[in-house]
Amino acid sequence: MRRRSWVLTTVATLLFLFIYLPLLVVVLYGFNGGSNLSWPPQGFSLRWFRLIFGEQAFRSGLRVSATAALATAAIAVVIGTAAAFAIARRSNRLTRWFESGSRLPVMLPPLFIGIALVAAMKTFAIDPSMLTIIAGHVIITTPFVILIVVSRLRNYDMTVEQAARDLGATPRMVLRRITLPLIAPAIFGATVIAFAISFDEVLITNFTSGTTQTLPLFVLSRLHRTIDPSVNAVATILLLVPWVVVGLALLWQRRGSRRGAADAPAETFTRAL
Amino acid sequence: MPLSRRLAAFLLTPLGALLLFAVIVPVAMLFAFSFFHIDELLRIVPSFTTSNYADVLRSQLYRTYALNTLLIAAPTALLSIVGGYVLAYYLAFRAGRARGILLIAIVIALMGSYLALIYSWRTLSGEHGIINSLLQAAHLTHHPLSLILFSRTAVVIAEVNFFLPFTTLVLFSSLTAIPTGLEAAARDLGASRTMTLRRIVLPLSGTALFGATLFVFFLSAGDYITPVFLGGIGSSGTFGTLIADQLSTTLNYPLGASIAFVMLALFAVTVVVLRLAMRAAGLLPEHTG
Repeated sequence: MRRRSWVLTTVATLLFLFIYLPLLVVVLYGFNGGSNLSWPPQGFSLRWFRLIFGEQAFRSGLRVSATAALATAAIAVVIGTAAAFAIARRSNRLTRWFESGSRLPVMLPPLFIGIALVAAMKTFAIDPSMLTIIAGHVIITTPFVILIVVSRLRNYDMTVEQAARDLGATPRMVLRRITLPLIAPAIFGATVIAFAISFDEVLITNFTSGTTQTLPLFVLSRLHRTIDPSVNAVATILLLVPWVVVGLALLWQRRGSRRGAADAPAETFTRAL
Repeated sequence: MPLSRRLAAFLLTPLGALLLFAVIVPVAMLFAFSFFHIDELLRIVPSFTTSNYADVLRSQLYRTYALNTLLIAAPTALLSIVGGYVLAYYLAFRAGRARGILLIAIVIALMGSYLALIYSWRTLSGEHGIINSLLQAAHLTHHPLSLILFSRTAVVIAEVNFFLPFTTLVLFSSLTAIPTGLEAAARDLGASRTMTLRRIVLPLSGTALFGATLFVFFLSAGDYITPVFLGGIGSSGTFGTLIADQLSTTLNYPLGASIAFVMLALFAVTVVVLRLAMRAAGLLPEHTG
């Protein structure tokens, strides 16, 4: 018994290290003073950050990605939350069909969605633009919004709504004063996840962007060259932006709800499958 | 409160429009394109032909790509699932008070950037990369080893790294859904630890195992960036890279479209095979879908 749990703990620790090793390397070498990517790093410096912030292509990529991610999160949350209400509150063949249909974009490889969008763009003579980038991102983020909001709508005590009705609240009041505050953390969490997915998306964006360059596409263009230490700084930003946003969301959710905050995303991903 | 029929229909309209115009219509267009061909000037000629499919099914080249895809996606799926299961089992039953913080660590890793990981593995495993300079600093080797970069192994390692947080979370949820008394009951009735795992815990997480395996397998097979930057020239051409090449290099869009549908058909075969295999192993109940 003791020996076995010792083995399990060791393997789990090694797996954690495996997951975090490359992430730590990126951040460590993003702040590296030297230009060699060998061990050990040569002192702390911000030179690579100064270098990339001096580049026009980087700044515009950052701006494009932030815009696309904000727009995607806003659109996906509106479409997803509306659908989640119908799916969670009315069970018939149509809503069940929509619930499983909404998972389709997550089960298809992004490459497939990307080239399908190219087919539509060719057919209807739509030029690649910010709009086509956002369309691609909305397709893959909306399913996550639906999952998160539906699971919240199904998992809270419905009697509070009935109580409010019994006490004379109109349906509109129940929605505003009871339902929306109860699901607000889930909607907020969904917004954050949509933002994070969109900010990092490259497999679909590669086909829908045309000449517009997002931050991940900027990194992709740099990967074609030989090892370039400034990529570590860009990659650090790619990592840190979603981390900071998700971190703030976790803190906020933890305060806002009594349930363990980290359980919510875990729960939602199971329901995806 | 249950919604009225009209309100429900109203709320579902944006989602319906999104699915119709951004998924169903484009996929239908893609299917139509897969029967077109290109002329000498690389223009798409919209006349019906099945020659793309005939090419893909007949040519030896595509079989090599299919094999490469399998040799990358299958180990990636298997290792992501096994590693994810170990982590999930640890988190669910052994982590104790550290569980909350470790779960957050996994969620944070899940949000880790895909491209940053690829770049990092290149930094780590290159000839003058970190692993080699560490080995040399420790006087374990004197010359840089041409380690794992530019091989299928490198692609699998990076992809497993990317998928592990995801499989861990999915399997964790399914493990925590198992009633706590069941494992203890099996042990009380005399089942060994292995037997309890094999007969109680694994089957009860069977659906999650099935879904997560397919998810990782599909995404790995369709990945067209990792194999290009970490894989070898001949050994790592997957369906993903093949399709992407048709769009960016050879500009034979109809051929790319037909390869995509062949890939989808092979995915369907994978679903059936995996389902049969898992049922035979008693990991999936007979009645699921």
